[in-house]
Amino acid sequence: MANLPNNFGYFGPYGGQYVPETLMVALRELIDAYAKAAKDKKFKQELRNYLTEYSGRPTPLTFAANLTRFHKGAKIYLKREDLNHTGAHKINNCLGQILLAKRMGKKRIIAETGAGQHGVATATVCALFGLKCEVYMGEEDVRRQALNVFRMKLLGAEVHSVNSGTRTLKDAMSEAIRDWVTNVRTTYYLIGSTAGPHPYPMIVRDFQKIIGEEARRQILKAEGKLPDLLVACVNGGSNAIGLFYPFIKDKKVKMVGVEAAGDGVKTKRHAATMEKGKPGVLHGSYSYVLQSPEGQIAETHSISAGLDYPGVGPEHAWLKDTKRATYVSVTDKQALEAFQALARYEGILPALESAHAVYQAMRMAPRMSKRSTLIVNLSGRGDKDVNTVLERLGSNLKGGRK
Amino acid sequence: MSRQLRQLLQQAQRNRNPLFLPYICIGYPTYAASLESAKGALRAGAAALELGVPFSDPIADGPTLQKATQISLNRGTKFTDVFRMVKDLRKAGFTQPLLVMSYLNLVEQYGWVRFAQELSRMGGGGAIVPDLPLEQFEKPKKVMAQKGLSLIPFIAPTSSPDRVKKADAQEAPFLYYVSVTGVTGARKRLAPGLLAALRKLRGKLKTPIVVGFGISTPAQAGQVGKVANGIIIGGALVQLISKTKVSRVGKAVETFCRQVVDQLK
Repeated sequence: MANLPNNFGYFGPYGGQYVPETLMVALRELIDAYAKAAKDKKFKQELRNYLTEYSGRPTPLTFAANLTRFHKGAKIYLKREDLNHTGAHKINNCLGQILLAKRMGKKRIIAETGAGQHGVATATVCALFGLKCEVYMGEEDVRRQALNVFRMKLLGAEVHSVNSGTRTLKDAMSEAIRDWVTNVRTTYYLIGSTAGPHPYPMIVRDFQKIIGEEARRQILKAEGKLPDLLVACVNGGSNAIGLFYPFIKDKKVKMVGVEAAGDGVKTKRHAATMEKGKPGVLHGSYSYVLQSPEGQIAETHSISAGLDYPGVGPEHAWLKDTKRATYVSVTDKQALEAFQALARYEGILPALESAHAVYQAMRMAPRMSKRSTLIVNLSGRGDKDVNTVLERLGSNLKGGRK
Repeated sequence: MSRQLRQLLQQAQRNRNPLFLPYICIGYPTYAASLESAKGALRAGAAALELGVPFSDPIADGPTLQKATQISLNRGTKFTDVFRMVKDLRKAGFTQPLLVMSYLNLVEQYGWVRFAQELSRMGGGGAIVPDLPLEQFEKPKKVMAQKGLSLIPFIAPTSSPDRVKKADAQEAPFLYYVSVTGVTGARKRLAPGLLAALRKLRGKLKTPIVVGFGISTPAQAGQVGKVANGIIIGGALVQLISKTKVSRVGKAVETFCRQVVDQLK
């Protein structure tokens, strides 16, 4: 399973390249360029340097002592992707892909973004390498994540507000694909998630697997054994696959992906693609999709702008079907609870996306033995979400400590 | 039905007499109006029709068609309305080939076998699926062929010579040549280099070529018709419909299509 995708970009039945003919040549070009780069020692060394000296890797594995004590169960470790430059794991992939784009001689970069973290990371690497950057973002997300929009502009990117469809990430991605179809000869499309046509799900995973590689070394050093459980939030699934992938062969390590249940999976307002969706084609890839019985893509909801894509990366779909990983969901309310818990107990404001994973860890830790360990991927920091949380909790939240 | 389409295009290829295959968005602005548009186009001498099913995420379409499909979806257009339209057009006595234009997910969810059954039962001719790559053609092509239906491959300005060859080898009634590197929609000018590219392809392919995306006016249609076996107009028709009173849509489409057909003579 660790050798997937196959040559045609499939993980079992999932993945593939379901895109207009105009793009097929560009995908071929990308496959070839990536294959060459992946074998090139100079490329790998250059990427390693940027990850270390620009983004600040390796990120720490923090033992959450207070949270562990409170839940009286498994030892909870946090993989601190929030401590990356730009505040989330997204930069890992952006550094890799921008070096690739540079090798391919592309001068213009486009990207889609939901919460704005991938947009910010893309704008950042474009600033670093002096490339033209245009980011597509749904109108609704532009409103919810105004601060990230401003950050992108400060970094020199142009932000296009997309007002078609549901005005969120899925529509931003559709619009980015349309731009790419039009400007394919000059433009590099820097996808931020393990979604989209082959080779993107593979490339993004490969650039994110450093999360799991580091975590594996770090936990072995701290505990002398592999963890019993890995937990990460999943939407497109880049941070989760980054943590999971290096452990896939370690059959004893359980892996749980956490999707956004929004108002609850029994309502219509959620984004639990694997729990409630069925296989279909969205944005070039065959995977689980939230859709109507006819196949129209469904509207979704999550308190977290980074978790409301109605699809999921094909590798996750395959991990689910083969039962190597399990997928659960956490509601807006529960994520908010975890957001506050991590702030109070550990002095860390997690991104609302990551708070979904934290909640799942809090749910599972008490049911595990004290000798066991789990790692939560803290994929991003919560500064960008403070406004949203304020709206939900109200400004008369009681401070102080008992 | 597939055979009829094939013969039409082969004839067009032999006689150097290009055909007109307009695109109609089902349910835009209403089902009844789109049926009238289809009838108008067929009365005007369209050789065949493309019946577009609206999809929530049309990645190959520009703003005009995005808007039209959104309006159609909001009105409650169903995937099965395409069968209804084929049936209604047959009932009205039109005999031209009718092709379904749909994004892949809708057909996948309906099921290819069921889709082919229904379409052939109603008298349809085949399907055009813009996000189904050549690599995945074989299975659905077989399912369609069993019901006498065809599946139309695309080629684009960016297609490599070996991909063009592969498309040509599908033995389809025609190849859908995407005239621009870009999405659907009317444009003021034809894509630079289009005519030269088509001239170059012409002698090399055994399959007839039909050109679509970005052809807007009867005059442009006439120009492209000189170097292709057929042309498709979609975005410009949708624009025309958007500016016309619902009750006059059929007549307006007929008048426009007649101008195009005249230019192709």
